[in-house]
Amino acid sequence: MTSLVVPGQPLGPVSAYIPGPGVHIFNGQIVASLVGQVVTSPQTSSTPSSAATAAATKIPPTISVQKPVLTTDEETNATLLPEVSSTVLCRITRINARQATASIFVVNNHICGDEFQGVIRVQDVRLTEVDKVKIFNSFRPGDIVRARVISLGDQSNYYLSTASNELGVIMADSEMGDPMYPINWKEMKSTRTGVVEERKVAKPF
Amino acid sequence: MVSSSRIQCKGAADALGYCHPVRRWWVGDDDDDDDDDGDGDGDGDDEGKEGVAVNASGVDKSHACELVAISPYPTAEATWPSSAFLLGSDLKLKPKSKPDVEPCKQTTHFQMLHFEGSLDWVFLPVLSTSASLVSTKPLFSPMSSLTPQVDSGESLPPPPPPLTFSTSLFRQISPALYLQRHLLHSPPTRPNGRSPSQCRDFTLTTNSLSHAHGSAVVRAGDTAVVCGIRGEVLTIAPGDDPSRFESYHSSPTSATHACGSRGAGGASWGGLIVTNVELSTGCSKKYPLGPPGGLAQTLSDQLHELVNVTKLVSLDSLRIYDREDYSDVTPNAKIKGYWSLYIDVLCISLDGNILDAAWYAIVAALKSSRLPLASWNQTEERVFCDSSLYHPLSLRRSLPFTTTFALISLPHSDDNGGGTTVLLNDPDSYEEDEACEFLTILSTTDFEIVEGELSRSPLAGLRTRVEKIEKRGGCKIGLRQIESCTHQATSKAARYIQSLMKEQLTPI
Amino acid sequence: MAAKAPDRRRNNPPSHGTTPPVFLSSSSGPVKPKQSSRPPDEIRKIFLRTGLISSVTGSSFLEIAPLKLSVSVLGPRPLPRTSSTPFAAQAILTTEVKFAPFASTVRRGYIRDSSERDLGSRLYQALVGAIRRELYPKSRIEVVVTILDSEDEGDDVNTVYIEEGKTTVETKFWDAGRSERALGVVLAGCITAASAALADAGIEMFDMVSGGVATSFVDEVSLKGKDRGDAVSNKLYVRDPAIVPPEGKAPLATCVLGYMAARDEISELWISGKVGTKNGTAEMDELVDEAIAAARSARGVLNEASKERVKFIVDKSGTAPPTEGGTTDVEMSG
Repeated sequence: MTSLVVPGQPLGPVSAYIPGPGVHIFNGQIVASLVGQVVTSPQTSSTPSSAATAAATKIPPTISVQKPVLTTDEETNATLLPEVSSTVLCRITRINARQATASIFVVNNHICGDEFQGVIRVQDVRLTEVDKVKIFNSFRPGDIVRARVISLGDQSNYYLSTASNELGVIMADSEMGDPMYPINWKEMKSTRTGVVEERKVAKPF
Repeated sequence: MVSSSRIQCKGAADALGYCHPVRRWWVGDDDDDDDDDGDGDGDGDDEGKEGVAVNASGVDKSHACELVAISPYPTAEATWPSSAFLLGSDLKLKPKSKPDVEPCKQTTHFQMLHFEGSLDWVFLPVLSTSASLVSTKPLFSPMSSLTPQVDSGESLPPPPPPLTFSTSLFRQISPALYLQRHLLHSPPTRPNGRSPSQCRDFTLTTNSLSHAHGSAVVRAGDTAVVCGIRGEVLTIAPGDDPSRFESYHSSPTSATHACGSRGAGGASWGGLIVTNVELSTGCSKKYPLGPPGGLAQTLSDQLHELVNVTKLVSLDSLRIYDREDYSDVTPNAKIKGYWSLYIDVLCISLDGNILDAAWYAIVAALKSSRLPLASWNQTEERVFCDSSLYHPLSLRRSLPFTTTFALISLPHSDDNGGGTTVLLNDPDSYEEDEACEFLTILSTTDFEIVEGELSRSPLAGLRTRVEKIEKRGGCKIGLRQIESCTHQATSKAARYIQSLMKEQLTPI
Repeated sequence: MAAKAPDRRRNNPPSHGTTPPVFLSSSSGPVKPKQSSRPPDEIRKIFLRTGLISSVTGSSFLEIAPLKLSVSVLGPRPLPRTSSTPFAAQAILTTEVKFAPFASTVRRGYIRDSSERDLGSRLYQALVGAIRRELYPKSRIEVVVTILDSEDEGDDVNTVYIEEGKTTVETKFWDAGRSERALGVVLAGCITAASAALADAGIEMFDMVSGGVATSFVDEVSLKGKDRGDAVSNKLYVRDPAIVPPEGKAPLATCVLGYMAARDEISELWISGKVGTKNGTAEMDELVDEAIAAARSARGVLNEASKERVKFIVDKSGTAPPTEGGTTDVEMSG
């Protein structure tokens, strides 16, 4: 259960297991790619999310055999990269009429080691009435936004989307620098002055 | 209809448990509450009109958990949802593990302090004071279909799962707030578990390198530096005048030079001592590889200045004379060359306050340096060294040490009655990023201890004196604070000198 | 050190230029260094520890006798935002090896010199094949090696000044293959330590690469003018050679390699020196086999060091089963 393996260590034949994260196949053998514990979970039909969390945790969830999952060890998951359809938290760094640029610092609830740059294009801000969206009324620099990766993008930017109810601004400061709270899906209100500003607000729960 | 709304805190840290935070955080009747205290109830009543504002005073202090509302909510309009940002913290700290000492003397510190309990930041929709409002209106109109259907009726609906952030996430999202929350706690505790005046433990190892004439490895928390000192011979050309190395040579660009007292005793002469700091060693992901950036250049210059201004090394131990025997220097012996000292500081791991660590490493490395005895050979007309005779560098009598503080300004809050500041001794890089002002105190420690007496009382006869105060940025540090910092610097200098002496006296 | 163009970003040596100290030895002949009592097929003790640097993704510290080096792994991090950077479907690996100025007999400058660049590119070759780079698109992985101390790496020619009465005699000693041996040991150490740091970083690899080095020696007399048939027969292979050759032996060739033990693959091979021509293949095979054996020994240390860190983390986090959210580190207390 708590046996530790190192990269290159064979774990078993391909026929016996379905390879999960942290392993690769070499010469018909499933071979470890990481240093860590061997995790075998019984269900083949386990959801991808549970597999992802199992990879992120340190201790195997079950003892049964079927799907070996090696665990990484660092708490901050520094090797995590944004992938298509992962949910990220990012901080808006600059905006223009066509897009908002953001730096991604959390991927799937795990802090990544380095900040990755992403853009939210104007057509990806919301699902409906796309042609009426104005970036300026959706995001401001400094906002913390929950978004989803829709494409790896070009060489420097990941493409992000907030076109969903639960995606959008989750934290923002007003122009005066006060924290704001959401009052509806497109407005936030300053806690101090009561001034209302427009944002593409994420559903708060 | 609930007239008094407040957040009940039950089981303190348990209430902020990751699994079921919502079950414990509740707004409404205090039916199952164990009645925090009268004060809490009173607050609740009062705040029923102005919305939900929970602050430290509203919660029983005896609980390990503290609630701090970020701001009072203008709920006069009773718009839904007003949200409370709650921070609960269970600030019981314990060191995770003791640093274990490695045989190579490069010590391992897994010295992170961690919270026992949770420090979750809860983005919790605080239900309005009016229960009917909650139960009838769609909560979030455009998304009503997605919200869990609330039961109408007398009982309050089960609250939706709040948006919670784990401690590490909160730390990342809002560093300033995270730091402030810790420092506003009473007693103020830094995220790393230290008190504001507490510096990190440090370890010192000297002379562990084989090719350097003197070396020191200093590890303070997660900052680790290696300093190596290497002497090279500078031969004075026949027609050259050695006086340029003898006189204090101040470069016109440097203002600090003018402040240093001129006169014999130190050695900055003509750049005989060359100090450099290297950060491009992969010591931190923040500093790119390649040529030295701003910080590395500034540090190199700062330390170079410090070595020179403090006159750390006495010039006499750098002179190379023309003499046949190694007896004492006769007055008419001619100076034929100098030792030039290369002080190279490599940062291996960077977690803030590299200046103190680097300076301490430099002092310790100089203290442990042994140069071979060099003399001018007339027949060969060059300087030869004797591989069997080494002599220590003579340093100035009282060794100066730096202590750096970072200033964090706290926002206005009820607790402290206005915006105040906290000075943090020996900041780590997380604190450095949020600091708006820095203070470095260079203090000197005189040690008048005969070696034999050291064991009796290591700190007896220590006398400290402030030599230099440097303040960078801002205008918030006042005289009073500088004074208290000076006391801290003094005690730290005493610790430095103590560990330095211990290292020196330890037989290799 | 000769005066060079001043580096505007650093403090520079005095304009006069300085020279390293020259020692005058009173005895005749070079000082006989101490011979190690280590058997030739045994490598020196390796101290390897990972995860010492908290602010980078992965790190390791390695010590083999005098050699001390620290490796940081940064990344996978975003590619630099220049317009010239093409889209990279695989992670881009960069390796840098730098000696500290005080790491060798001659003080090194801060600017990377040719041997450091050479070591860097060899380290790249050794590691690049082992990393599952396709898992990390659009990113780069940086391996930075800082050598704090090394065995006297010096030159092949040693000049010794001997004092004879009033005069001094300058004598040169030829010590062939000295720098190859020294650099070989350094490179092998870099490879092993870098693998440990990559493993510590949690970067997926096909196998861990360990470095091995071996040198073939012959009797000093047989090297001089004799036919090489004899020399081949009494060859002495030394794994992980020290800088001092064994008594009465002269080095022939040094082999350094990066070896993936689990796959039995060589990712990097560097042989320098004289490998026989007549039955050259056999000679080379023997030398390579010796280096592989050294690499296998190093791999044992590498495995243990990598596991040690994980074990530490597992012990630290307790044996409680993970919760759904994976936040096992949150403990409840009343």
